[in-house]
Amino acid sequence: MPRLSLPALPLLLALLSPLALPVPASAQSGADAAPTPPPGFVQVKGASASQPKIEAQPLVVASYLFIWGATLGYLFLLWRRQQSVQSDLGALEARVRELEGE
Amino acid sequence: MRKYLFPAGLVASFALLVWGTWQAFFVAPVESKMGYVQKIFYYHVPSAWILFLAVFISAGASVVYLIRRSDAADRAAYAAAELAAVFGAMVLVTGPLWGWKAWGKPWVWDVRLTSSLLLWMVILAYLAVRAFAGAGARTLAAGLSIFSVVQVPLIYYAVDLWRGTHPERLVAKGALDPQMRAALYTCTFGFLLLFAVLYAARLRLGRAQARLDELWLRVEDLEQ
Repeated sequence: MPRLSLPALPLLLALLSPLALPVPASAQSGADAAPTPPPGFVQVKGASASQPKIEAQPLVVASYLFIWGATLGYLFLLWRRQQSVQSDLGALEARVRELEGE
Repeated sequence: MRKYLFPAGLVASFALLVWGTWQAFFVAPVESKMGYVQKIFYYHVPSAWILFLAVFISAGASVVYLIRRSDAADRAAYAAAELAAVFGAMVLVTGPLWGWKAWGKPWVWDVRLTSSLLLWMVILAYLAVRAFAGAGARTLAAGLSIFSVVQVPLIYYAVDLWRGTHPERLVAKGALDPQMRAALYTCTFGFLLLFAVLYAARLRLGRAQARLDELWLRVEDLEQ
């Protein structure tokens, strides 16, 4: 058996590659052949004309929710920090009055 | 009277945002190329504008601080930088959510996206310096704030200078449907008012913190 040279290998693979491709349904025969699809685009049963909205909707809702959440979250943090500072201010002012009275 | 200004402003900004959201979803038409996901535009674009405004205020106040060494200017810069971080996060989350549908992936290394991310990282660096480097780092933080503002024109004109994946500046070019424009401007006024209210509240907190620092020093003096 002749030895296959390296440059001939890609050529051989290229010639054999159609054998590795799946056989089209139209070329199949017998009982296991797939039914031939109708030409053109086919509507999905039960889908509305606004089908793309379903994919975009979670993204739009997530965007709006994130912005409202970030706003309310930042407001809450501001409020908590203000409460904490006011409480410390009250305590320190009382301490200053106490020290000045001594 | 001033006591009611904050809640009144907050309610008015929320009302404007709700109205703008209603216009965006029920009045403005669905965009022909991108479809329904383009509705993110009505919150994404105003957030970006407010981010720029906050960065400009922070940088302007930082310049004043560097010239006059004014504590009030420093507090104004810090407050604006904090809000820039919040609005920057809004831009950087809503943008990729929009891109996920429009481009098929949430992030592309487009010039506008990358420079926006860099701007946000500089703002975070400013906040990190202010939070962990003490009072002596005010000058360094002011420098960072001024550096951040340089990126704003780069971000704004990036789509003109390097045609990338990001949509063009449609609002500036007037290429927007009137109903879309109305919804956008309502949301923008809502965000602007929200920013003003949050900024006023953050400035008030800054003043209270400064007063607290003064009192700590006073107590220390009295106790000695």
